[in-house]
Amino acid sequence: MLNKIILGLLISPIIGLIFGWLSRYIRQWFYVLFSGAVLVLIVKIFNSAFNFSFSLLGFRFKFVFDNISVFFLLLIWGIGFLIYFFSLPQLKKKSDNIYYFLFQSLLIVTSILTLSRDFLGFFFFWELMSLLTFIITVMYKPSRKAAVKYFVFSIFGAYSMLIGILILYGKIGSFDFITISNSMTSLSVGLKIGVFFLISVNFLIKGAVVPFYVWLPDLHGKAEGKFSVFLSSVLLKFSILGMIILYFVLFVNSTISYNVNLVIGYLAAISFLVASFVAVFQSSAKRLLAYSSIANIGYAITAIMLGNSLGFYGGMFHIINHTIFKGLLFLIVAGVVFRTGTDNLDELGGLIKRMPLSFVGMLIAIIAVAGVPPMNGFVSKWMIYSSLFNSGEYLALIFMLVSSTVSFLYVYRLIHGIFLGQIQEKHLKVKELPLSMLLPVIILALGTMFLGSYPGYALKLIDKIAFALGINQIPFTLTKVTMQASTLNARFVASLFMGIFGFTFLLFVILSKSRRVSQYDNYNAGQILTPEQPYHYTENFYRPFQRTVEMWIKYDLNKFYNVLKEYLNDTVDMLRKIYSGDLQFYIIVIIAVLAVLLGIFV
Amino acid sequence: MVERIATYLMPLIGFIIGGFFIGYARKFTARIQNRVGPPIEQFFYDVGKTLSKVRNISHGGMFDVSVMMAVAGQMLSIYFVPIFGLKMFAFNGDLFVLMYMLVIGSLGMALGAGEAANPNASIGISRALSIMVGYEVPFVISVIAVMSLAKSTSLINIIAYQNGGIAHWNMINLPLIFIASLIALQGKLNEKPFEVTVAPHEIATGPLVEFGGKYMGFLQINHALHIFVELALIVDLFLGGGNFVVFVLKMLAVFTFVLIINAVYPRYKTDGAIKVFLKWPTILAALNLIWILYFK
Repeated sequence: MLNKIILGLLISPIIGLIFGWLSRYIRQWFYVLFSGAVLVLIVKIFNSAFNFSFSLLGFRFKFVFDNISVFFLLLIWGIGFLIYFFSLPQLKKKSDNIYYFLFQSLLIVTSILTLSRDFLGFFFFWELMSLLTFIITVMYKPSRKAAVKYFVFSIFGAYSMLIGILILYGKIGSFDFITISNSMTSLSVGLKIGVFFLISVNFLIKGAVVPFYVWLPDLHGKAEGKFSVFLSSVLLKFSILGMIILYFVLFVNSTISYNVNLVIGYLAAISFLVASFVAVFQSSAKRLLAYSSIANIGYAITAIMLGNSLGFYGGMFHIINHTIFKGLLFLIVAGVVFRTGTDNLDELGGLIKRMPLSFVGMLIAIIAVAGVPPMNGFVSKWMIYSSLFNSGEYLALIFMLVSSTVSFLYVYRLIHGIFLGQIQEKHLKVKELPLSMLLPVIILALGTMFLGSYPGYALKLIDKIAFALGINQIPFTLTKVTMQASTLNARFVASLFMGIFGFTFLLFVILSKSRRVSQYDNYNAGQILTPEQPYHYTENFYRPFQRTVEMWIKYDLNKFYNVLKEYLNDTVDMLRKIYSGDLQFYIIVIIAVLAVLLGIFV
Repeated sequence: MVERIATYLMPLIGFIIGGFFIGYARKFTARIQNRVGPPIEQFFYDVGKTLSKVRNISHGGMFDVSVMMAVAGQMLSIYFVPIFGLKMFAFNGDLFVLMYMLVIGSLGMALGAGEAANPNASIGISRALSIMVGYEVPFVISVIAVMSLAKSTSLINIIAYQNGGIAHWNMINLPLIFIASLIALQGKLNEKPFEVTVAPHEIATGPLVEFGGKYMGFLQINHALHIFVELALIVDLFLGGGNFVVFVLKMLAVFTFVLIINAVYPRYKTDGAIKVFLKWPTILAALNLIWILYFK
């Protein structure tokens, strides 16, 4: 049975490729049904744990299906399923075939990565994931440059991790996580810290933590609409998988002094603070969301790197929530691009009358991003605040509260830029998204609201991971979370709000009715508004705020990396003079070397 | 039983007290400017008038929902602030919950103002959010200092920590932080010199520009509740709470202080206001926090 499932998974991209030659609709429905079936399968074997391994060239590859795998598999296939569904109306081109083949392969590679429990398999599939991401993004013209940037950073991270792995292999003689973890105490402290940082650099790069974040806004901002969803909702989370394996599996048995985990936590804290401020001034919706992703993954990394149970629960819950609400936002933006052809906030506006359901979806999502009750983002952010407070990390707590406040600015910019204000003449004929695009939006919106009232359903899953990793469990019920002294009754807050809202709604209804007016029937100091003259405020939305803070955010790390690139270019240029590709030059060099050798030895 | 009824009726009590506070503010400012001023119950006449308007202008669905969301958000926050020594529903959520609950109302209003498609409104919202970052920074530091003293994030415990007379109040324990929060309060209540959001002479009352009739009435209720809940929060955090009379007197004292500053100052520009918030109150609050964390 297990073998058949694995075989089915592995050959599914090829089947998709064959179907694609027949008809793109058959292929797409195959992928939709297949990913749906995998999702059902994961839910069915939710509680079971099994492992399997195979040997290649004398090395044993070990794979374990446990709660950590389930957690990430649910994210991968849930979002994968919704993306396949979402892309149904977009099947115009025939060249999609290779794209979907690669995308399905990426889903499978990432799934195997979550099962991998030794460094050999982990490293191999991790790099395969980077490579596939690179190929998919480099195939799409607008994101070509960004993809190269991403790949350079990836390779740097890979080498760093490889060195760390080889050091561990040299000292311990095994790639297996459990074996390494058990013999970790035999290593010296300096070596442990060195290896910790070498390996974590790779995860910091994938998690876009300062100083390695510069690739993310370009890649997530310019990649194709639905692939941005996958990049932000799923691939970004693999840095967390790495962090968990590194900190809670490998180094758990050994005491690392000097609080190296807090170093990473505070790096992430700086990155979420900076990213929120930079996000405010973006005019591309996807780039804005990309910066917001940096901020949100930063919250999660900070929380998890506290190394205690409160932070672990909060961080992991925030990952689930971020997957849901950021997927929702990216899907809606992709839908807006599908309908209008642009994601530039300066060129959109007023779409609320044309796309009301998308507006409601985005409204729910931005309430969650901003961390306002009664949505899911609030519960997890509250858990992270409490964990930071209880751990005494007041500086990180201040950073996070300020970053949350700044997030109101960018989410309002986002929703105002797309949906509010005056609608332009050219957008008057824009229609609501087609049903197959709306359905994923509705599912994710309902998920956002549901986990805002019943966080317990998600916490149950995290509870199992915590139990498996040996982390202390925190008390919670389906609706109520307790973090040491403080309690949050999520359902109570949500239902009280709904009750009060019902009361104000009644008050509103019993008062006399109102008349709808057009957007040209507005106050303009007596002057009549016409469609020819736009009366809309959107460009440089936060100009006064920008004037205040630009002295702090003008130091862009991109400049630093560009200078580095120039130096590298020059160095490589010098090398190229030697490796010129000119055969005569090589022969002259060889003869010269031989002459010198002859001179030495004779 | 009485407690339970009082708890459920608290938004109404807040509305009445907030309304009289607005009347008091107008009277107080008028007396400073050597005018007579409107009667102290003027606010209720105004609300009655706007709510009973027969012709109302709406700009769309979100515009309608926004005013309900604004009032509902404020009412919800009132239930989570211990007032008059009542615990309300504060055991279901702590100060972090309250801080983000207070935003629901403003968020709702911002969305409605955005849908009205008037650039004055959008500029007003942009200003409101910008200076919010300004005053939230000192306020957040103040809140963390207060919580770290009480070693709890719950407002009930924070009030309990200040039991036993004026010497135990956080106002005395954390003098610099108290000053910083008062400056932040000036921005939160949108009073001069930080009144950039409404700025009637520049952007035609900003976010409020398209709201009329019953919509205006809802926003007036929102304003009264907002004043009530913000003042109650300051009294809980720094002045040790108290029973009905004491609590209202404390709120009145804080509010009078706000009004005095409001009456004599002109208005900052938006970037000026943010800079002021990020400079003095932030430095004061940070110094006090460092003091209690490392030197006490």
